[in-house]
Amino acid sequence: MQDRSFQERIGRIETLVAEMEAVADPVAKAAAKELVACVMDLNAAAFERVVQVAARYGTAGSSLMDALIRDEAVSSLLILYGLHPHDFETRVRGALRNFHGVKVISIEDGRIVLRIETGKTEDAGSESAVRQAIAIAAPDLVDLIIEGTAQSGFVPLESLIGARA
Amino acid sequence: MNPVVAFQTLRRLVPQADPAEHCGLCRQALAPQHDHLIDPRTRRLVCSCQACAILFHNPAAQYKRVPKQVRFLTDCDISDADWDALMIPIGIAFFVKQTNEGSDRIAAYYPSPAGPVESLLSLEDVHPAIDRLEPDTQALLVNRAAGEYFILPIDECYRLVGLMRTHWKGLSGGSEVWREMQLFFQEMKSRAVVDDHA
Repeated sequence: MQDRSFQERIGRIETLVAEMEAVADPVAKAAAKELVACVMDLNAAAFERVVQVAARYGTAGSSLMDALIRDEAVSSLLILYGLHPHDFETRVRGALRNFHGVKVISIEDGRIVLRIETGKTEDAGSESAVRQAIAIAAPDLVDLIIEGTAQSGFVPLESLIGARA
Repeated sequence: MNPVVAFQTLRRLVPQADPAEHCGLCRQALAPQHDHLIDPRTRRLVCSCQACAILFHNPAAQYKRVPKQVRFLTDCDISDADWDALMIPIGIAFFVKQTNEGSDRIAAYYPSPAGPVESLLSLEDVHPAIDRLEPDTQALLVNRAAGEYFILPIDECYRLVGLMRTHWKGLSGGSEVWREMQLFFQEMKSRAVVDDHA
């Protein structure tokens, strides 16, 4: 999967940031931080230009943006720089479109509450799939709560009846 | 690596786009030094431009303007017995006269690494200086270790609480937090006018 390397690269960045934070020399640390900030600023400016240019090309431009935001790396960076064409809620609902029996209870300030309606899906497998899909579409989430899964300790009546039959 | 964790890693590296604060009422961008208003019902502070601060400062308004003056009290002392009776675990506390639906009460707070903690004891007669407080917007701040007493704006007390929260390390707080506290009290002293209540 091509996105693996994207996540791995960020993992490497995380390690390097920790190393940078541990540098004792305050001048070197400040320079390293500013270097990172400048490079990211340049990236953000370039991304912004891409979005602006695409916007000038009408339908062709929006198909281009649609294709770009399907890429996890591009989508994450557009969200990071506040340039993603879809808002948080739209992205979450979009990610859930392929899952049946998942009900949105609330989406508020980055906090998502969902309910998986038991019996309609293969629960255990689908919960982790739902989490993964949402994490990719909305990595800026604050909290994701999924109600009504096996962990809640609630055993639906149908499953008991089903087991006996 | 989880996409959410990865995203947070990247977000920490993004330069602060617009550090300027905005007026909570009219959204105008604010200078680093600006007015604060307080909503006495929720005790929330709102950053405010000068025009809104003047506009909203009247007794009937929802918000009260927080004054800027700091007074260093020379006539103020609380006896050890009175202080001990408050059962405040650290040597720093602030007292506020709060209005709530027409009735006044004196509340005592002390900063902690988890935010401000309200002392549950009755504090009606802590000190006569409390009578001189403007309700909701001013506090009597006590620094027992140095024997210092201030009447200061409530937003400075919130800042003190914030300093404690952000600089506290480990079980005892570490030296950094106490250095920050010291700097805070030094700054207040240099800003203060001496009030001997004469």
